[in-house]
Amino acid sequence: MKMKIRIDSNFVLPGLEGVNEIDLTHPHINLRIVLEELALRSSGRVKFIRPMTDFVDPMDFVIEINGLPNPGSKEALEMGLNEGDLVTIKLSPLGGG
Amino acid sequence: MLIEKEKIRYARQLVMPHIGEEGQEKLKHSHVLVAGVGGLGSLSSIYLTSLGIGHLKIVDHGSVQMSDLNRQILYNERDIGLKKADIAYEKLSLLNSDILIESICEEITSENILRLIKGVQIVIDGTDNFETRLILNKACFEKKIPYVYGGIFGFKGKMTTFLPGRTPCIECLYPKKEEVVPVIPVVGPIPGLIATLQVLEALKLILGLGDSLVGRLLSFDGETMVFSYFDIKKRPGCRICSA
Repeated sequence: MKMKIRIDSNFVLPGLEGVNEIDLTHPHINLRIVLEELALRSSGRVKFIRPMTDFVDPMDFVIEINGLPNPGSKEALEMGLNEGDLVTIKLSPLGGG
Repeated sequence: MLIEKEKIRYARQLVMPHIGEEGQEKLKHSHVLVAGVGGLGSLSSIYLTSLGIGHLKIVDHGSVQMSDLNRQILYNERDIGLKKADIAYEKLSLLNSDILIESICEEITSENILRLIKGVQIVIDGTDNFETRLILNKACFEKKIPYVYGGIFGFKGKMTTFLPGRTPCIECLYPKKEEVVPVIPVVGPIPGLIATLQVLEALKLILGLGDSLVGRLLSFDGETMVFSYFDIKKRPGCRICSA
């Protein structure tokens, strides 16, 4: 399956400078595939999914799909995506001091 | 001119080619505000005092609590219940009596912020909530004052330097009002590390040297000991800095 996914972020995604969509070819495209692809394009500079725990730490990144929050949990990473879906990745705010 | 006592006190800095007497004079004539003397502000105010920042203003309206003592190293058990601004003034003055320390026991609000930052060269973030950070951000942008942000949670810390007119601002990154977490988990070394880096940023800004975190956000993960850097983006339509 070939699909175009739109990407938005509050920081420059390494390897994706000036680009706001990616083309993916995979039998079942889900959030995990997108985040792994983005990590690959960053040449390992950014790891969205924590290797040890297999989820996105909400204190690292906040994920939204089409403007709706996605917890980035192991199960949520399997959420299937559709052509033109918007995946937003934001650096999490740390409010403590 | 540095007096003899200052030459002895700052001897280890004066021998650094980056600083020397000229740099030390710059520090002596600088004016820095530490907003909040909690986990971050405790440590940053100690280092700013020992560096010889000529005019240090500390603002905090809170009192010392037992649960602060795991990270707020300016205080001890005898200080519980006392105003942080008063204790900080007392202890910082003992560390360096040659600088002007101004301690203000007030909550930072949109009403008093312009008075508080008047004449200040750099604002160091030591607050514990986003509401105050947004007030600092707006005022610093208006008055073109560099704002050195720091934030912590658990084993993680983040920091960057916002330079009005040159970099995105904090509202570019976090435009929505953030949820208030009643008890923020934290171990002392994390605010210690982030505060130390904030002071380093302030030092370089005053001296005009080195590469700062202007336009880049540093993220530290204490579990994996990984430092990451992210180039942050201006947000079109930001109500503070995109006009």
